[in-house]
Amino acid sequence: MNNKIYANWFMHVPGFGIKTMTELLNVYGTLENAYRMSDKDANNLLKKKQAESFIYAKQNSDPDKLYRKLEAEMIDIFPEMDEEFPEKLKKIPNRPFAIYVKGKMPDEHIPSVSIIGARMCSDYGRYMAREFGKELAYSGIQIISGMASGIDGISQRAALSVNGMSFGITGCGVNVCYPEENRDLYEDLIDRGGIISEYVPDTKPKAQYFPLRNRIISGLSDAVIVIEAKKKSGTAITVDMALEQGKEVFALPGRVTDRLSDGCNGLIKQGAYIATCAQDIIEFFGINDNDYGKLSDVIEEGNMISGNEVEKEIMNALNFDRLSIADIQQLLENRSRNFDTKTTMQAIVELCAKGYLIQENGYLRKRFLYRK
Amino acid sequence: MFSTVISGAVHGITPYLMQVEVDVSDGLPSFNMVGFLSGEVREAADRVKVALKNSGNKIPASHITVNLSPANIRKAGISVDLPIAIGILVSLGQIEEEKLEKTMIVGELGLDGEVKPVKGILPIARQALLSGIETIIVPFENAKEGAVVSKLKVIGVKNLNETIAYLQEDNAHKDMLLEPTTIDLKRIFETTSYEESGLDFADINGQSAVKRAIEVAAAGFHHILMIGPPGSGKSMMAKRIPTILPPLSEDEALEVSTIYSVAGLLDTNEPLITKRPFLSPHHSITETALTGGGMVPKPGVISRAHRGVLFLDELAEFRASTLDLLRQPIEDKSIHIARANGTFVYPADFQMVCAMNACKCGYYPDMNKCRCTEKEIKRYLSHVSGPILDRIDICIETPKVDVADLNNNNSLNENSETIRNRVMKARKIQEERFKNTGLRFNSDMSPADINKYCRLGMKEKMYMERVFRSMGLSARAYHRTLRVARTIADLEGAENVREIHLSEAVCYRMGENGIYKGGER
Repeated sequence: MNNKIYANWFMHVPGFGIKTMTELLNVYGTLENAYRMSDKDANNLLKKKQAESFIYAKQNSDPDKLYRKLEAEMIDIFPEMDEEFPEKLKKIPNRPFAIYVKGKMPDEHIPSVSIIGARMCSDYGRYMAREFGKELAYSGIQIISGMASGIDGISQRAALSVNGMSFGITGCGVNVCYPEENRDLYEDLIDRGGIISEYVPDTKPKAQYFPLRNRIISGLSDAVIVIEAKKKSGTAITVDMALEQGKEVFALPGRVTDRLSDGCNGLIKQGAYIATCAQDIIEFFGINDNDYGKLSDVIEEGNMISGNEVEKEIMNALNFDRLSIADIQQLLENRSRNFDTKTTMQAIVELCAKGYLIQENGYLRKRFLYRK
Repeated sequence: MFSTVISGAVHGITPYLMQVEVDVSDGLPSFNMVGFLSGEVREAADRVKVALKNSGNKIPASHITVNLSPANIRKAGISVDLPIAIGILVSLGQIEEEKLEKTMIVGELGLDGEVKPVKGILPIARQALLSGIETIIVPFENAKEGAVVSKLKVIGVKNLNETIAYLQEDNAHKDMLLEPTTIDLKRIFETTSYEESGLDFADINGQSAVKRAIEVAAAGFHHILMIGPPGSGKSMMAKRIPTILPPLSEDEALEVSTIYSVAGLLDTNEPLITKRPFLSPHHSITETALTGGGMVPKPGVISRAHRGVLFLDELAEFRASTLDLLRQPIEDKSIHIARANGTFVYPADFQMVCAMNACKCGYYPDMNKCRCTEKEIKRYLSHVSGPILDRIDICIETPKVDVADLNNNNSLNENSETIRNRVMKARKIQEERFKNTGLRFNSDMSPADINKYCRLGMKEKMYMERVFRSMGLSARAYHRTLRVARTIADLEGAENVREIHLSEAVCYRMGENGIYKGGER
């Protein structure tokens, strides 16, 4: 208990990382002793700035009080010397000195997979993230991700939607929801999974925190799946961390011309595992008893809808990109189906009304449909 | 001796007749000017004195008083130099007063006696004719402009002495000295064609849906917004919109030319504007440049686009306060500018054509190229203020152009003339329908008018209900959709608005869920 109280206090002092803390522990044995060192010792032992903030913090804050606040907010802290500190994180280079958890910690005996990818993803990526999140969580795998908009949040939402377990690693304190649009996910994760961060609970998000938290995402996972990523991205950082930590990396192959698949295709070129369906990963972990079919069977083709000739033609011509009406007309013309503009428009409105097409920011795209 | 010379000037674009009264009498030598004058008019005194001297006309040392009447209008501009000079000569007895009967004189003088061009000759000449003037003496450069008013005898003069000589000649030989300027109005209208401007809709390959939307917009005078990536031909198509509008009628041409005359923008050799104006202000434009302004307001861009097309490229980059100024002119078809010395009304009946990208980098929805986050896209779309969007009936997304399309032979494309003929037919139908109602186009219809002129059948009503509910369109969009549907029906010559017209109109509201709700999903 003492460890938690003082670890929390040290976490609040700026400039104290894993390196300093290890040194202090070598000298003083326990955190409490380190906390009680004299100002003179602090000045001798620590760098000038560290000593200053240490002395200042000692005068201005009380470890017990800080810890009571933590308890009141239902936040747990795990210092790295504790037994509860995740075994997986102990192994990674530059591990955090302590982590804060709101909700639960991932179960170390159950496989964990992180599903990561671009924030601005395509509809294809959105769909894949949803499918992988759902299927993996359904087979009992814990989904770990960064709770960001795009792939991260979508896969986590999907995992929760089938009552799976999911954990969000944030680049801010666990009391802060970032991005704000994922507030629902944030609250669900606290209820049914956990929010984990190496920053003190009320830390506001900062750009430099996010690349750092990526090492925890990969660190807590057994495998990393990249759904969709550009060549240079935060996802690439996570993958680098994962490889450094010796984790398995899976990538979804994409079209060569798709800039959003460049990252994935690049990884495959370098020897990453190819994942074309959730089953690939489930098999990798040796989890059987699964009656889920391959994803490719699930996507329904346009020819199954009811509608007149023009409507069917439109559904056949469309893919999952966002298009304008003029684009669709052009597409039909390219397929030598020259309906006049009025007819096309009528069919489009009809398809929208039927729910086969949906509008996004004024553009249209095909909606994903399930056979089941 | 006392004399009166008739001159004219404009107040805003409203012309008025001015009496230039000159009195030359004995007394201390002086030159006084009165009559609510602005600075530049007051300076006429010096110009006139020197110009008279340098043209070889001796003025005896005397007390000269000049009054410009009516005294309740503030005189601005410099068109009274020449009449003052003539007035002095009449007072001195060098020109007979009878020679000035039913004659108006307008012009600025240089110090060497040269007569320089002035602004606003066209409206002044029209006013002169209405007031019973028969001859108007104008600067040579403005002669053709004045000659547009064909029932008036227009004499273009190059310098002061020429004017004096003309006025001293007896009536029979006058016109041999200086021939009255005439122009052939009929020929000007006949020879005007858009084809020679080199712009034609046939230049545009593909884009059939956008072309159609533009045709509908032109037919019903609907303001239109094009959203699309850079290089999708938005500006190219906008520039060609004037070519599918009906040609300017004679009255319209005079209206437009009047505005350009007042702004001093008329070409010396082409005194009448016979093509619909196309103005494309840069988005950094100031508020006064857009609406018109200054101490004595000059017509702004929106007035110069009168009866033509106002193209606002990069709509989202315009300052919101600038765009909001358009609200009143769009409603009233004119702009009122109030100044200490009076309210000026300039016509501003333009077709608004706007273009913008769907996001900051411009490439949305192409996810391979777009670098914007979802938030940035929403913020960008919400830049344009709601009240302006409320006045835009048609919104169409332009697709990016396929290179293969560019190489296609464009001889198969419809040319502007074909489209224009359809537009004119649809406008004719509207003209008939709105006879004696004060309305002109479908876009002018209020909700009450819509109920009257676009009555929907049971089937159509149910269709609208179903579509609007499933697509989440707003009630406000309802009336706009009907207005556009009415135009589409008119283009087809259909009596009633049917389902196919409605569905097309709904398509022009697809943007509703993006831009019209600030990008909300």
